[in-house]
Amino acid sequence: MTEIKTDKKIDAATAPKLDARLKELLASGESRLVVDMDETTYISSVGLRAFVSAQKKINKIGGSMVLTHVKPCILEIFEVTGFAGVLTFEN
Amino acid sequence: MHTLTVPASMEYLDEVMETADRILTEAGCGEDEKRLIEISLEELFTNIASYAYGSKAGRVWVGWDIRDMGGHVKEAEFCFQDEGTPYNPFTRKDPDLELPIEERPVGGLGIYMTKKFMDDVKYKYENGRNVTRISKRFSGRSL
Repeated sequence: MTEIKTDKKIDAATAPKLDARLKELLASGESRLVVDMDETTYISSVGLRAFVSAQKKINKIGGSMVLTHVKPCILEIFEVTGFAGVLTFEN
Repeated sequence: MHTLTVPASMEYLDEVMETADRILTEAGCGEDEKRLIEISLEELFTNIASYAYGSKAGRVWVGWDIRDMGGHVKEAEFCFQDEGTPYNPFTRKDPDLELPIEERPVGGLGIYMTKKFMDDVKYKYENGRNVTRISKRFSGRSL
């Protein structure tokens, strides 16, 4: 299991780094990811895409990705875009 | 309306976002509404910077206005103009949120969020420019 922490803002500047980190972990054989989003208060579509792309790969390999400490304002964005039901959240 | 002109390139996203953040903070816009406006602005600017001019260079005019609507209610309006290929982003079909994740297209999410988060979105093509406007009301401090 590997845990990573996300930035305060997951935007066009920081999302590519998150995407690369998730891809790198999955490529290295890690199939259980915990993403601590405690600090995150902003996510744009490029950030959502990074999570969706990782989740698709995880589903294929039978692993898991859990997003933890997701603030209500961020959960709202996952809900509006229909991703709340396909990603896994935990406090 | 106040304006800022920047090259249509992602390197200038920060400048646009910092300007928007300053304007909204000064207007007394709360964090929740500010976040939704800023996400919408990032999506629109990203679309213009990525697609409007193809591989050519071009400019983006960013305009804004904060209106006092009475009481403690204000309205923020932001307007993007570019001279790129005519394109109305709001005619894009909404993503199907019921599809399983494997079949879910990941494009179009930004515009979908913009339509959901803003009170009003408008597009027109005028004098050779795409003119895209978004507005949202918020409760702010009185002027």
